[in-house]
Amino acid sequence: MNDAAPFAAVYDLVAGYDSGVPIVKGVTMHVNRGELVAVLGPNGAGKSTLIKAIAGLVPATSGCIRYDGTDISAQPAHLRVRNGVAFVPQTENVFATLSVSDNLKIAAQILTATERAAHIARAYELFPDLSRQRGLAAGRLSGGQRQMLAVARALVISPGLLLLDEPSAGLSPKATAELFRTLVRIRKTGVGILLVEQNVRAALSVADRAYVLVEGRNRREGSGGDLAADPEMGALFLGLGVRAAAPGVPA
Amino acid sequence: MSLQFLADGMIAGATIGLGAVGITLTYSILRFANFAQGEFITWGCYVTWLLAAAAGAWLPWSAQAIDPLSVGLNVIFAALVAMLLTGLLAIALDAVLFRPLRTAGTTASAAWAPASVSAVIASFGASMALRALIEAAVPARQAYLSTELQIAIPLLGGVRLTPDQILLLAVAVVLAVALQIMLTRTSLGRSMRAVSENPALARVVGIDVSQVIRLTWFIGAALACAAGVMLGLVVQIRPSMGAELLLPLFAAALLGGVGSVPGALIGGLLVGVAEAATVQLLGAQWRAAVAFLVVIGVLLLRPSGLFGRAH
Amino acid sequence: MPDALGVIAYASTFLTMALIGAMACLGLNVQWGQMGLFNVGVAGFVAIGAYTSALLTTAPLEGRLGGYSWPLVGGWLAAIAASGIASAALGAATLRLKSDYLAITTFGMAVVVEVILRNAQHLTGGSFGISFIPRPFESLAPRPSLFALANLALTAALVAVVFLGLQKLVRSPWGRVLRGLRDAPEAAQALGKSATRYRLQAFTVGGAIMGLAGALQAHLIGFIAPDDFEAALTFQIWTMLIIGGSGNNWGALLGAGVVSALWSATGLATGAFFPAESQARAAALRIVAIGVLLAATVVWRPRGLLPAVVPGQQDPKAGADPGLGRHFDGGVQ
Repeated sequence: MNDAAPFAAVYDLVAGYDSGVPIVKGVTMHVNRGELVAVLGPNGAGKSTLIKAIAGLVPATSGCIRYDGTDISAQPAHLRVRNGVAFVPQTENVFATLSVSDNLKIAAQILTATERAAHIARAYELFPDLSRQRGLAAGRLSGGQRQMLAVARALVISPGLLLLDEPSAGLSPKATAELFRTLVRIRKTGVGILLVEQNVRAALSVADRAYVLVEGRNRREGSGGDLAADPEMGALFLGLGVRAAAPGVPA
Repeated sequence: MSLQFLADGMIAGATIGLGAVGITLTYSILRFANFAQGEFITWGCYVTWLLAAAAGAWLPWSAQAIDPLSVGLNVIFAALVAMLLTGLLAIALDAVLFRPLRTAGTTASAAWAPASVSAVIASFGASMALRALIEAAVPARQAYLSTELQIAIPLLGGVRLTPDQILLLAVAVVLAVALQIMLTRTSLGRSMRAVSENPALARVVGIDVSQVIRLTWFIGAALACAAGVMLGLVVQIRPSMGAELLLPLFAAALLGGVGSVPGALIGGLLVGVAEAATVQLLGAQWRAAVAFLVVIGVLLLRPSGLFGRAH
Repeated sequence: MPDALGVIAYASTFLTMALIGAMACLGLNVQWGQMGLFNVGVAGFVAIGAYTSALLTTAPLEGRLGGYSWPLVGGWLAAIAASGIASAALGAATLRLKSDYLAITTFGMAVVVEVILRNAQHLTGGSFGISFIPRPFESLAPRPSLFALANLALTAALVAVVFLGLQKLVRSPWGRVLRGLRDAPEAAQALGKSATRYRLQAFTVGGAIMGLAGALQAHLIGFIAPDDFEAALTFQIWTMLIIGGSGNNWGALLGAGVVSALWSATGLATGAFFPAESQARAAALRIVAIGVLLAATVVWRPRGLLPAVVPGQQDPKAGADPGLGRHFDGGVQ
């Protein structure tokens, strides 16, 4: 158990597009290096808003966001990126009119000249499919490949914290499995991953820990295994495949 | 029919094209039609005129025309400084007027109005104020950037151009090429294209969107200033000169395809030549109608223009 | 001791001009406030009304068409019809365009109108304009204050008629359809072709009213020229509507009053503080004031002075549009 302050955390975070209408209503959670943490919850729970607030795209009205020892609550989004917080949005997460290589080059702009080539090369190693399509406009990639590009783009800066908003949305089961395998590989390099997901089963299969948000607030938290076996999770989400009732009672 | 109209058209077209770059950049990155763009042209020309006069008074040798041109170093130096100042004027205008409209949420003038409408209406106000400021500040009714008459040099095909006009075309080409290189090969250019497509994603990849926006205004206005200087070398300088170009500017940007800088430049050339052809065939008074026909034609037949993205 | 009659004449004239502006503004409100059509060519439609009436009612002039010495009422009705038809024609081609594109197109149309006014000498008198336009109550002219009051009464009556008519239209089922289409353009799909018809109707009605304003201007001043119908006029009418409150007929009246009052007040100020030779340049400062006022209003009080919901008019949909900020995904700037 790590007694030191967590690597990345939010404390009592209140956030929303409109300061008068908070969607996240006081959430506390943390992610450590090399940890994959899932954020789950029904539609409208505020998971997406939470992760956008951490990325800096949605303003936080109160509470605190800490990353690597610094309070970044007031920092503009583009500076958080420079500090190592990388965000993969759910939709429109690549520049469709730019080529694959330009997408990576843009992400690499904030690196030093010496780092750029190396990091981009490493991104191609991690995603060989992309390497074969460098010149193609990102909008012409398949759904799965586009997600890979979005993740690759986020990794180019060697982030300490990787934020993903429902990366499996719209992907085939096969593409989802490959994506999650990639996330496990990334986690092993020491990157902290915060993953918002609707696909509860897939998320819990790779997550070290998970939080459940309901209506903008913390509801449950626990290890991936604990939550997967928890009957209330079945009540909150359909399709978990957990028996929610005692035998003999119709489910 | 002599081909002179082609040459005249290209001179006018270079002016329109350079001014239209600002329109297309503002529309693609800031998502609104800026009705104040013409005033950057006017301001650029007047500031050049003022600085050139001051430089000429302070250092009389600088006002000597550089053979075979009709202008001296004072005008050239003044133009460069004016481009910088006009760029700064645009940044200041954005800070005071357009940025507050971007950052505040429901500031639409009516709950149902698209947000761009507020910016357009604000640009009306800016346009009125900027033009009237010049009218209030400038005493002389008649002003010229250069008063030397020039002999037109015969070139090919019965076309004649003055040395000034040849210089203007050369400068326009240089600016166009520099712009294109900047957009396609530099990180700033890439950032601008990124912000134009998706500003939220641009933030997320570490681009300082506010800075890109400032640079966008700067470039658009500096080029408008260059266009104003070109115009001022050819016609009499007056407070309405920029406003009179506004419709051709829109026509060029639409024809080239909103968001495409090379499109705006080429669109400008085409509009300029079309206007010159009309002057040749129908007379000078109908020139202003050409731009309208281009606008209607593009919007009804091919709204994405020649090189634009279908939005 | 200011001459009481002089003050009456001045005040009446001021109010009359303000009311003419209000008339044009009411027309714009139908197009923009009720239907959401972004017309930046107001000056063009006003000009068409003014010139139509002037050409029909003036005496014949050598080398220029028109001059049929029609009675005033005929001229005004023709003005309404001409502007209405011009609106319908332009609208049929362009109303389906997006706001910014419609703005550029209507702006272009006003430019073309101005070009025609300046250059079609045989039709419009060119840069010289049209003079000796017959004025209502001409017989009262030797008594300025009475003359001014009579014209004021006439203009006020016409504005009142238009205003009441528009209030009725706004509350009618037709008005509700307009606002429904305005607020939810996707609904246009369901209405199909009729959506275009409603837009065209709104655009035409608004344009026709602008034409009447133009005719009034022509006949109350007695002289028109292309310079009177430049883009500045369009921006001025827009300023009135924005300041008063979009979507709101009362707002149109109030905005016209405020802008006209400001115009007059600044006129008095520049008259007092600037020497005669600088008057032309000082006049430009007044325009700066109007421009700054418009920009400031858009930034600080975009709903105008009368944003309050008047039943059947402005829709109180709060938070409907997140503004351009959403495009830039607001957040920490």
